[in-house]
Amino acid sequence: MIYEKPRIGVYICHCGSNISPKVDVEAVARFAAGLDNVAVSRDYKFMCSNPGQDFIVNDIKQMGLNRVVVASCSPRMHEPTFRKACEKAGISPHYFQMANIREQTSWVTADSAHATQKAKDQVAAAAARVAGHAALTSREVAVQKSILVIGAGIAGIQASLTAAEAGYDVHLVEREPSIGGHMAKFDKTFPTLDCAACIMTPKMVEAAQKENIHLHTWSEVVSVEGFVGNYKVRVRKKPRYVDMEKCTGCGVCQQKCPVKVPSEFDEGLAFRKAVYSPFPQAVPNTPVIDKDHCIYFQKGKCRACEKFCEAAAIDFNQADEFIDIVVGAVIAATGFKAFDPSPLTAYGYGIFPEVYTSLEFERLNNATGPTAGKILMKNGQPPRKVAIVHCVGSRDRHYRKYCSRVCCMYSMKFAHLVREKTGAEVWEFYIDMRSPGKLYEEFYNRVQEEGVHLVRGRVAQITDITDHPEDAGCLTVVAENTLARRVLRVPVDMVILSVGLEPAAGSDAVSRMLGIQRDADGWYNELHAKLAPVKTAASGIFLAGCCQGPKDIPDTVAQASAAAGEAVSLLSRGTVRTLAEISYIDPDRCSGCRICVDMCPYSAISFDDGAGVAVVNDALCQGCGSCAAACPSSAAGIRHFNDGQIMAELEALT
Amino acid sequence: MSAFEPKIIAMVCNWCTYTAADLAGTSRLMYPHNVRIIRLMCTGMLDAKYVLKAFLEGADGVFIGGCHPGDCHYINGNLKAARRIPGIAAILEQFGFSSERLELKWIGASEGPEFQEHITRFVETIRALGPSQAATAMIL
Amino acid sequence: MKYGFYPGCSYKSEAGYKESVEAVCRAIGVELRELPDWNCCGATSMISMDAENAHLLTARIFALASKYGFDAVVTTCNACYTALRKTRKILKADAGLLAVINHQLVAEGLGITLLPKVRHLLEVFYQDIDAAAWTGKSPAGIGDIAVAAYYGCQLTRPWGDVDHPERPQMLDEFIKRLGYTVVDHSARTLCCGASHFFPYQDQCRPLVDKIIAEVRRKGAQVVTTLCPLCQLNLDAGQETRKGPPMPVPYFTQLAGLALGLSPVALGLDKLLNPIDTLLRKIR
Repeated sequence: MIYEKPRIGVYICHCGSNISPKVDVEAVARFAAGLDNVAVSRDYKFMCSNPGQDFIVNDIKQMGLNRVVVASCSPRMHEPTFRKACEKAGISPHYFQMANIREQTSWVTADSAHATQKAKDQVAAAAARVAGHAALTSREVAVQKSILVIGAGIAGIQASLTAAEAGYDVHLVEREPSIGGHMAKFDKTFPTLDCAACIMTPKMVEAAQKENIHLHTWSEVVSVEGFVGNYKVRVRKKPRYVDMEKCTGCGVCQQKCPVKVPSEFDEGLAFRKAVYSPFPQAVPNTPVIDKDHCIYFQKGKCRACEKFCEAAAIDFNQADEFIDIVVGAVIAATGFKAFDPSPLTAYGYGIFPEVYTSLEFERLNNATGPTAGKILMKNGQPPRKVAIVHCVGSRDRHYRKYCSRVCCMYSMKFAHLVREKTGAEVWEFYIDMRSPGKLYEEFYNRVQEEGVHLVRGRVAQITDITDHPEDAGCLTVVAENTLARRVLRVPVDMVILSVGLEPAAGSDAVSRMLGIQRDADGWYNELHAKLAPVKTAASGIFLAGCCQGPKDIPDTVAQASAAAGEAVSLLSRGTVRTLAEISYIDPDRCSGCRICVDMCPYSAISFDDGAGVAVVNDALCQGCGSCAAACPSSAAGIRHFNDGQIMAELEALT
Repeated sequence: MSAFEPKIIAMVCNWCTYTAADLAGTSRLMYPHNVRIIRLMCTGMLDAKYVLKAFLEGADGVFIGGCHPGDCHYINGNLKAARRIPGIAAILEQFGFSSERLELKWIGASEGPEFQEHITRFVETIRALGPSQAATAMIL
Repeated sequence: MKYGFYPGCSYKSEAGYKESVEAVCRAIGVELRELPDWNCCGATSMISMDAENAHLLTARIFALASKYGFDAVVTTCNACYTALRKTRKILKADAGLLAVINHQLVAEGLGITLLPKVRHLLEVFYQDIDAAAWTGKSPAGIGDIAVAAYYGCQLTRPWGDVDHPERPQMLDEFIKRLGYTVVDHSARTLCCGASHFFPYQDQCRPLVDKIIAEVRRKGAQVVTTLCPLCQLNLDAGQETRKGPPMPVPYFTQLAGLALGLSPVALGLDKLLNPIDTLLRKIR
């Protein structure tokens, strides 16, 4: 680049009477005229007006200016205006600097002389700085027209359907044998008591049938590389040992398999076989063989499934298969796992058979569950009295300090279902009843009217020691009724622990792969809690559902649609423009210490082993300057905020 | 002899404290004229040499304003600044003058009154400390 | 193995604790050296009334350990155990208080040079002694005796660092190691009434009843304890009209039986609710 001597034009704005009487603008303009490299200095009533901007444009054209300083309001107000004027006149918009003499001087300084002096210093600093400005460029990068969705619960399915509907290719990856996630386990959903299967199954089928949704079940994402618009993704398809093309889903293999394994889908309340589909409506309904429990894999003989499979679909020789795909955006929908209440021994989970977690109860109550939807105890009898304990693991500083948001509502749903199906007496123990949501409070009122005992108090203990001989065999729930100020001891037949939500197992690995930040509890961080609820700090990575924090089905579906909308917005734009004001690393100065690599919050700096230097990925860098400040050899710097520019300001201001 | 008027350099984050300073302006909150503001994109880009340079050039105090923890626009740049400041303060102490001359405050974008308050108090602190000898003391 | 031993006030007057501790330790090769001139541990009451002097009282025991060169003090009582551990924790964290206390101890020519570890004899038996030392000698029929382990409140609380605070296992595991049948039950850490039992018998009897009823319901033939006050309350406070008497031997007495020692040498004849019928099971 040919060095041009800076020729600066300085423009001091009166801003009507906002700057002018306090700051002696004529004096500032005269002062500026004497500064180094200043070719012209003017003051004007309103610099942001069209005539004001025309001064700048004409001066650049007629006087050959190549740098511009405007002293007026905050750059947050009119920097874009003046940058456009520069561009219009044919010079780089980055050859512009603003001195904020209104918000930060005339409006906040009592004395006129002081304000004028401050404005002079600011103008001097801006002129000194702008002399060292460089014309920056950014580039357009094409965006791949496909989306990766990780996790095929209701969030992942909804996001996939929305994006696919817009015409984009979607790769939906699910680590379980079937899509459906937690919602597939539920029977009824609050507050409308819709049948979960009735509203879920059509979506699952639609996801499977949509031509541009590529379903990868029994698969895991193993690596994600690249940047917004261009992510290279590797998916590991685990061996099903059942040929998906040949299998007809007849289920004979499952009937003939001699091995019984506690069913994960039924929360261990029923058994599945070693070759299994997790549930009858599974999508796809091709079973998988669980290698760890299959007698053939463990002991070398059996092959009963193979023998009886008319379609000859069993294939014991299958191995891991790796699929490489390229996508423009990623939606994380990794969901949650239920809190394991075993550490809370006072509640007796795992000790007393009639203490259930909420997910276990969902299966107990489900028409496709182990009891065909009848609420029965382990002895086959219906319970006469049921206790529901809220906030197990939630709002508890020993475990999870946050509110899991869904438990109050599903607990009331349980109360309703127990009342409806068994007529049993129901005791709910809550800390605070939280029912904010459309028709939620109404549902609370309905449950109250159904004769459920609602006790405000945290349960202290659940014990099999009973107070009266006639309660033998019961569990006693001990709690303080904090409204009545007395301790209650309620003998019941069955206890449901309303366990909280935790980030899904393995969600930490996914977050590292995608460069998503997690909060102290492990939930994925959105870019902004209010204004960017589905974006993440990693551009092109979006969030859907419980991976971002506990939420119910309506919120999950809404957020999933929003995530798909953001992804589609990115894809339909077609290109992304990289930021101009980003980091650079001078390879001649870089010593290869890699401090910057660890400092970068966006994983935008990688190390070039061949050259022995750190390299900035301009598509990922956001220009925070962490690398620049940390670099011991001053090799890293931020364009438009480099050492020379800041030092020039410092020298002029002091 | 005229009263000592300290020279203060404030290096502040674009997303929070700079915005708070603008808000102080729109709310017409008066504060001492002594402060000169330099806009950074993030306190995480605050290099120790900027602080030292300010003192060498004759600043009597340096004020750093960043986002509250958890609010950083760049995830955690403010925390990086928070870790860096004690190190810079230690250097100042080594040269024999008070590390009170360097202050880091979290001032959110909506905290115009807080900006006014912190700046006013900081100027008073520096005024009480008297002129910095840094420009001469730090030249070895 | 040699340990400094702090017997505490209830050790020698109780139902065969002393006899069984001594007999078992002799048989197993554990040497408990009683700290000469030991004093009251303050139990739970002293610290709630005058913390500073409570710590001084307990610290004096540590100083005796220092004087006689023990790096561990063993107790056989849950109250002593907690009182000692509480003071140890506080002194460990507060060098200033330790200095003040040492200054006060100087008058006696004492001083804490090393804060000794505080161990319950159960920990010594369970953790320090090789498991094989307990097994092998068990007389036939031991396995026919169903034992409920009762921990009381102070072994695992308030810190929950020794064992689970609500559902401890160590005594169960030890009793299992000895060859007995252990019954799982829910009364492990229920309150026995402690020192309130005698002034407030009406209130405390139901507490003991609840414990006895629970272990009986779960099929226990004896309930074993590791604290003199628990033993006294469960044994003496038992409402025998509600069922056959439930013997309440110390864990050391059960250990002695498993080692083949004679019931009389273990002081088993001193139990208020006789254990004789069960002893007949042992051949």
